[in-house]
Amino acid sequence: MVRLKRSDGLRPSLQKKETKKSQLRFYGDEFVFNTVSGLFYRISPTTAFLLRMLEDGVETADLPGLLQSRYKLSAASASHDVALFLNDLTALQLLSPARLQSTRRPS
Amino acid sequence: MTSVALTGLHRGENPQPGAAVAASLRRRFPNLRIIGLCYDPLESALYSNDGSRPDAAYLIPYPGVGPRAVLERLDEILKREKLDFIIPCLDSEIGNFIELEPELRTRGISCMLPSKDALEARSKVKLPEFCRKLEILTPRTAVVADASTLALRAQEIGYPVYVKGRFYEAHLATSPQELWEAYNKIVSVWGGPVLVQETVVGEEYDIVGLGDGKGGLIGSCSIRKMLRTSAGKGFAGIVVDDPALNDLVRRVIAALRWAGPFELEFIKVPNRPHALFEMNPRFPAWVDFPSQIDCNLPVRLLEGLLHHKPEPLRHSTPGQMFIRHSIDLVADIGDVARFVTTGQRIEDLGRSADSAPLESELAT
Repeated sequence: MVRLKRSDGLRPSLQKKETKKSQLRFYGDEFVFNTVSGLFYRISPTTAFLLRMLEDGVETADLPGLLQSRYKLSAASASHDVALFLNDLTALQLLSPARLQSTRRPS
Repeated sequence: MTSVALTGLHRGENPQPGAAVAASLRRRFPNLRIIGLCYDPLESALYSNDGSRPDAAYLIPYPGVGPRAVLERLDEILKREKLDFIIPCLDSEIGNFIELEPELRTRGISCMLPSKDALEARSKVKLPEFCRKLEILTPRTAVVADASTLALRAQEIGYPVYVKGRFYEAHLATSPQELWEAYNKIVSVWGGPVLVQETVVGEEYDIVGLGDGKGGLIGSCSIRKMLRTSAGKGFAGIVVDDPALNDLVRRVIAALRWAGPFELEFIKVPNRPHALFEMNPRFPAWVDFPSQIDCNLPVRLLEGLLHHKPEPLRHSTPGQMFIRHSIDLVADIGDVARFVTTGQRIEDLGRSADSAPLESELAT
């Protein structure tokens, strides 16, 4: 399961910009700080892995494959987990819906 | 010895900025003589044991009595105390000091203050109009002078609403009954008119900065409020670096050609740009936080007044944060008694050679 959880228990502030390399600062694999919004999140190592991939410029459509090979998941589980992860990012406005649509491969 | 007079020295439930400004100044100028101009003998910095404690303090009349009474009291203080600079730290006194600036200059006292027009344009009453001109979002706000109009406007905006005083105090009202109570509370203390404002839920961002009076920004530090008190005051904050927010700050300061310290307060609702809901014409109570991370704005202000070559201000790094920590100060009722009965309190903390102990003054 790759879910983001606000660490300070407050309602998340959403932001318009897409995730950019300079905006996220990782503290190990379980904590990330957004330097623009000032919000921080307790995350799972899997989330950290996916966020780092996005930071490195990986397309969202390629994430299931990367997740599958990294964690030896079935294709269905990887796709499901990535879908939930992207939904979370979109809800938190860490990823714009436009980018999500434009980079998702047709199934 | 250079001396700076400060106001707003109480760091209580709703902390005032003066003590933080004093502490910031002493980080760079440890031997600076700091004079407290106080409204109450129980202003907490008078009893502190750190850099926020003034070397001397004098009671002054409340700002509401007007500039002349303030000047008269300052003239009395000047008979005993040299004042080179005044940094007013409370919203309600800025207007008086703007009025008094020419008179103060003739007495050798310098300030860095906004123009009267700029002060007025950012007032709570005028802020919606100012934001509309600059195309900056702001919560819907109405200015009302009586309770029945207040009820109408609250109905139009939709409950819950905030009822705010012209300078201080805000109460959340979820019903006409609470609206009425809030109105009475504020009017009885601060007078009218009051403001009724839509409730906006989101993350709050605060910016402390210094304007050069020509439309430029000398320096600033932006934070997200991490913890808020029941009154909405930031009790913890974390530095952010948001280009959109920085751009808004520059636009506001340029439009006002703001001179001196300021605090801008924004709220950000999901999916919308930042909305400006307040601009305060002074340093905020958390100003000593950036001072501790090489963005000492009070020092930069003083360097400007002294015409010194300024120390470079560092851009605060996102992720640096502060948490306010309340402590108990020990004092003696004798300290309070002396201040109440004489209207002044002179300390010799080893910083000043020319400040005679109060006892010797009383004996003569």
